Amino acid sequence: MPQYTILLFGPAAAAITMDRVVIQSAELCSADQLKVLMIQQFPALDVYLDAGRLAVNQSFVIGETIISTSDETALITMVSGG
Amino acid sequence: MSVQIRLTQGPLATWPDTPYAQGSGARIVFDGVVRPTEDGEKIQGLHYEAYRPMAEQQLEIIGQELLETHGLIAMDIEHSIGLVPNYKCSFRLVIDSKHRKEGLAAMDEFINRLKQDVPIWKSAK
Repeated sequence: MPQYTILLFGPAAAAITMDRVVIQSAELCSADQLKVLMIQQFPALDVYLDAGRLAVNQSFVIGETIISTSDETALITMVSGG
Repeated sequence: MSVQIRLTQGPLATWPDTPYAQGSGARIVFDGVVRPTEDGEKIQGLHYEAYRPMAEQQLEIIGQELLETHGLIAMDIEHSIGLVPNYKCSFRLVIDSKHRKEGLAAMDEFINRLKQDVPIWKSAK
């Protein structure tokens, strides 16, 4: 079974006091599908996933993008630099 | 034409007296400073966390893009990571351009893009 590790930062990491989550999936996922699985397995992330985007190998991806388990995947919530 | 990027631990030092880029007729320096309050609450400072490799990449992408579209000469971009106390500088953008108009326009656009696409997060301390 594919297993994804998703890096967390900022408020999302603080919400569940973890800097990454591991998500099991029946098959390879798109970004949107992975977000759904994240909400199911970590409901506290719901508010962050709503406005958040996934980055794969340090670049934002669109929802339909299929993500490989070897990719570096991160949840980028609303940022607040500057 | 050049873009310099630095993520620096702690508050940023005052801007050094560097020469103006060749051909420039305007230099605009923007300092982002930590306010003493956040959402109406008194704070001691802000802590900045970055997804560092992506933050550096996004700053470079945005900088290069605006250098091209606005016809700038040079940009120097520096952002703090870690703790920055009140009244200290946590972000600096320096733009050298032929004329002020394109420099001012690019300054505003860059900061808008920074606050949308660069994975840096602040938390009050």
